[in-house]
Amino acid sequence: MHHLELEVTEFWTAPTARRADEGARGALHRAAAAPRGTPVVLEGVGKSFGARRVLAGIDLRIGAGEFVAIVGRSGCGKSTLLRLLAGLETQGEGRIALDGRGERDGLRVMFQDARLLPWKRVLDNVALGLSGPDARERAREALAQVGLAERAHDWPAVLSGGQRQRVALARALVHSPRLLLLDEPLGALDALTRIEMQRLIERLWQQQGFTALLVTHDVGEAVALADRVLLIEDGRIALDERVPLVRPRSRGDARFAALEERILDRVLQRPDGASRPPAADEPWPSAAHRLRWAV
Amino acid sequence: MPCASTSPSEPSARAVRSLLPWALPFAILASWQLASQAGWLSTRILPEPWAVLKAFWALSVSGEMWQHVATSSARALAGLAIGGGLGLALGLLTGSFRFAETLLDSTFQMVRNIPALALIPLVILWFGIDETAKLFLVAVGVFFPIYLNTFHGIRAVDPALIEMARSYGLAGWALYRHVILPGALPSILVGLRFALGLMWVLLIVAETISAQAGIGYMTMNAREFLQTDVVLVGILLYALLGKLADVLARALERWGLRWHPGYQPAP
Repeated sequence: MHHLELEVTEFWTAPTARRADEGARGALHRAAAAPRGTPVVLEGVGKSFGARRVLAGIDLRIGAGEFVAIVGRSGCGKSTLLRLLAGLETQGEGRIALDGRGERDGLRVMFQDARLLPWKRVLDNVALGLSGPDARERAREALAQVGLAERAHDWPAVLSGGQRQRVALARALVHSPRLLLLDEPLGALDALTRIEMQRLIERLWQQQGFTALLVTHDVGEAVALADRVLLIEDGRIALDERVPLVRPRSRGDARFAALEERILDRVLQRPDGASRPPAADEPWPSAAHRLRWAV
Repeated sequence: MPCASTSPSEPSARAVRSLLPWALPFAILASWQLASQAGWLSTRILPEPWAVLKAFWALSVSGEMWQHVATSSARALAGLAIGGGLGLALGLLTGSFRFAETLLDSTFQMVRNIPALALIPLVILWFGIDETAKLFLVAVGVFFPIYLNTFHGIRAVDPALIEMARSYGLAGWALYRHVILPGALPSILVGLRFALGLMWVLLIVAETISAQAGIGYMTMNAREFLQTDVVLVGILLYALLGKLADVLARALERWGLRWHPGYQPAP
């Protein structure tokens, strides 16, 4: 096994991106063949903004093709961890290693807001950063995968929030990423659209076999999608929980609910107990399992 | 009156509403014509509208007017190309590079406060009263609106979009062409519309000071011979050209910003 260690900031230089892009051409067709995910290894990763320590001593191994969800309260550092991996933050201490044959750029990010270019039609947004004569054809294919083939020539401004995120998903997947980083991509969507999107992401992940790292507020979403749920608290990994449920997972399942509640309880339980919900004289009895937004 | 407010979609009510704005201008023209015909208004002060129309017709048939229009338009466009081109280039430069901003921007901000027309005495000293002086005045005038709006347009491009594009492998010229320039375009086009308005004002002043051809020459010449109808034709021409420039700029906006929700054609 050859571990490639690199400064994360180097991931995104244009020439290498183009090279990988050419390598990935046509990969959509053979995607289902073998697991193409990138294993990720983090050793002692930490990050500070000024005097504020956001992450400290994160050790983490993610297997190839694994789906990992990171939950935690706002400001716990979970998004920073994802941005460090993506190379969107300058690296602090520690080492981030992506395994692969020198492929530095098989990694794509899906942001909380879709970040579509409003001046490009949907199809051209998906084709952003693609090169080659078949770029538009591949973009069209990716758009069909998310069920938006007929909106190819619309402006992003006329799409709904859920449709925009689907376009953003197509834009990420058209590069056949080996690692997909999802930064709360469904946080702004309504409940029904969110469930639809979760199913879509799960299906495409199963088809394409990339490694996925999902940052989310929604413990239910984490349990529904992930092989492993991590809780980050005060800049450290406080919980690393396997999700043993078989797919497709049903939210009505008793074990699903039990696991979700356990993780949620752990999220809500602070070491100092300051923000723990009242237990004895609960004004909203046994509502904890319905409160899935652990913000 | 009550029926007008109850059913605004009724054809006759709509016709009234669309015609009503024209009632006052038409009334003014009519009373102007009447006053001139009745002899209350001396043609030395204001010729009758009909005479202005006749002069317009005569000048356009003889071809004289078109020559002057062509000369003036060429001056205006040359000044716009020089000043606007420089404003765009420097705006892109200071908008894109912090170093260029530090070096240049405060100078531009200081010079910006000098009204271009205040430079006229200096301009005459430097360039005399020939073409260069007119081009210089127009170029200086249109430089600042385009420079400022380009600069702010570049700076106002959503950093989240730039971050996204970088993470999708875009850099250098590709990043500029796909993200930064289109993002700055709405602001740049606002600058262009301001510049077009200023362009005609500055040209009128420059041509009025001195010229051997052009609309300003035509009107100043006519003034010496007390041809008030020709003077009015000149004023009318300036107004029409200004309007034309604005219409073209709007069309450019509608085309260039057709993706923008604010510029979608009404359904």
